[in-house]
Amino acid sequence: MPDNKKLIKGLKAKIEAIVIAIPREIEAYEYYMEMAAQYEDQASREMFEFLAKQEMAHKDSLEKILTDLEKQLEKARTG
Amino acid sequence: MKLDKSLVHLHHISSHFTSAMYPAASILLTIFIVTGARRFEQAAFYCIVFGVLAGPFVYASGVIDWKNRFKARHTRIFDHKLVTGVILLLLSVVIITSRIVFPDIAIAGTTAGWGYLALVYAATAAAAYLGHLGSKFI
Repeated sequence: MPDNKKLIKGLKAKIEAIVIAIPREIEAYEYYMEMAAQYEDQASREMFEFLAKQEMAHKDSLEKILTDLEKQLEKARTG
Repeated sequence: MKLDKSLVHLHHISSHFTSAMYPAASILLTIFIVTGARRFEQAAFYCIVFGVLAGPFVYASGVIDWKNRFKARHTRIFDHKLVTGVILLLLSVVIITSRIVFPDIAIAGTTAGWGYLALVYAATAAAAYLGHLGSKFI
């Protein structure tokens, strides 16, 4: 397989993994926020809100990685 | 930000229902081939019919979920799901139509009978592949 085709195939596989992972982070965020709302004590609520923020940070990181991978794919296709 | 969870659930429920119907049809039809008991062949046919009836719910909920959660991105998995879904629907339409037009099509030993069996097996393989692809999202 020529190097460029191999590169494109690899990038597509990575993009697919990230595309599938992003909604999982959103679902985890929503789950932790629901859990936070269920507790009245501040410590528990803060713990779940902290975990929710972590998931949101993961989602943001994945979106940045996705944008970068898509740029790389475009470059590999045109270059 | 809020994901439409009921839609995701609808897709899971309807796709599991469909996925169960096709292997059941294959097993029942195989039992018919072996035993000759006509009721198994009839049961296999109705399994396919119920599988197809759930099809619009599976396809519509899947496509809407793909647009909502995955921003309608075309990756290998989504493209394979879309194409295999259409193939499954076409196979099912051919199976049901041929069985309605020729009620004795499944009788063993005839070319048409083996063809009918092959179509049901092919539909089962397509349903299994769709299930395999779906499992990657869990």
